[in-house]
Amino acid sequence: MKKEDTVKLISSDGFEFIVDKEAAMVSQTIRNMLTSPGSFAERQHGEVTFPEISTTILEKICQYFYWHLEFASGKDREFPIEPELTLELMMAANYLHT
Amino acid sequence: MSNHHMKKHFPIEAFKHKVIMDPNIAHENWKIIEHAIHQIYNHNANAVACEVIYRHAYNMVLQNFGEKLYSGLVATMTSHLKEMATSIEGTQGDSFLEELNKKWNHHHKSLQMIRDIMMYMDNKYVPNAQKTPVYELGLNLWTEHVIYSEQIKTRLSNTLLDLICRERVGEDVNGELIRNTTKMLMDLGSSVYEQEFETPFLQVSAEFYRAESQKFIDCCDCGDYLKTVERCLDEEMDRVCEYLDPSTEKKITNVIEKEMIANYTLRLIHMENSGLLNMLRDDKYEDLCRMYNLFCRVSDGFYKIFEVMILHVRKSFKELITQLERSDDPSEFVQRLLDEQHKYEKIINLAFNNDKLFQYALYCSFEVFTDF
Repeated sequence: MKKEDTVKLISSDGFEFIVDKEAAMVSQTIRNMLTSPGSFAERQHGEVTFPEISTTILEKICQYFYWHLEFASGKDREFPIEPELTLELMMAANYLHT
Repeated sequence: MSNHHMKKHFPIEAFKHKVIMDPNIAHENWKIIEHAIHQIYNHNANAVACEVIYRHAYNMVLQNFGEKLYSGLVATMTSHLKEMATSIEGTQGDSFLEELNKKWNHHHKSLQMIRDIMMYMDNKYVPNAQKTPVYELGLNLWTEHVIYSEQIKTRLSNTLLDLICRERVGEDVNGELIRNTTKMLMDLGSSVYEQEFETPFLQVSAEFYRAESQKFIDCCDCGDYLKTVERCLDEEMDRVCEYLDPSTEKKITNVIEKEMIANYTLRLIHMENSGLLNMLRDDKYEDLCRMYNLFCRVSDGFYKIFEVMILHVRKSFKELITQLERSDDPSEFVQRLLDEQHKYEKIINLAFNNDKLFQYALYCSFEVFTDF
């Protein structure tokens, strides 16, 4: 992955996930942060910090991004979610507009 | 995202952040957001961490403080817009439009950034509370506090019209500046464009072309006058392309058609030594074509040409026949009649676009007389 095509997503515990911009922009919220006309701090440094999202959840979200890019058009695959994560995942999805 | 069936019993944990927000916290949240908006308007957006502001706005909406957030946004944007209006009002002469455009671009850009950080409110609070979405709100506030500001409203219209008037008499003006301004007005809504620019523009143009046509009709012959009309139409088309909204094209064209053509159709047709009959007699195809095309644009124009020409054709056929009835040479008679018919056929072909009505009328006229 080229550096310019990636963005760093940082969880509340400081864990850094480096993902493709294309994947991250599955989240409308992240898309706005990265494509807004002015340059917010995030775009300048190429990283977004989420102090309210735990590492486990953020990891799942990142997996979802890639799953979405690949499988969202078809209906034959389900995105696997461990039940204990459901609530937090829903909140995060709402927050990230995903 | 869909669930699998539960495999084990799991504890539901409390949310990491507070569930109920007290008004003081809401107020603190708002202060942080307000500060960020100030930063954006003060050209300091890169000091703003989008996620932080987004999250604060998100929390406010989630905890039912959407109303406070929205009204705070309105108040903050309004105060910045009033500042901008004051700055624009203070400009002298030609820098007025430049400053207006500069501030508009800045506001527009800031507005988009604000819309992005307020996305959660836009999606969740705004529809439920039936408020205007952020982007539209920003446009409306700009219109209200800048465009409609007492000192700017008329100055804006007058400045634009003045520039166009100067260009019409040959001065060089900054087309790009005008273009950006009219584009801004259209972005604010077609009614704003119409009220603040288009309607006064059409009025001033009507007065201008009324005066122009009076000037030219007195000193030009028919052919030259029509050439002038064509030139004026071309000029206004260029103007529309260069810095007006395309929707104005039809309207300004109508103005010229009314002031320069409709008011003078009969006078032009019957103009001594250069009117329609002279053009027909001398086979002035180009002039006839121009007259046909221009007159077709106005409601009676076509019929006035038609009427005069057909009457003339019949009269000339009749005269021809009377003359030749006295002659002893029938073949010459037939030839000259055919020549006459051929002459008008050519005119209809080259100048009147093979107009079916003309062709038919000519055929009928000819028919009547060949029944002899």
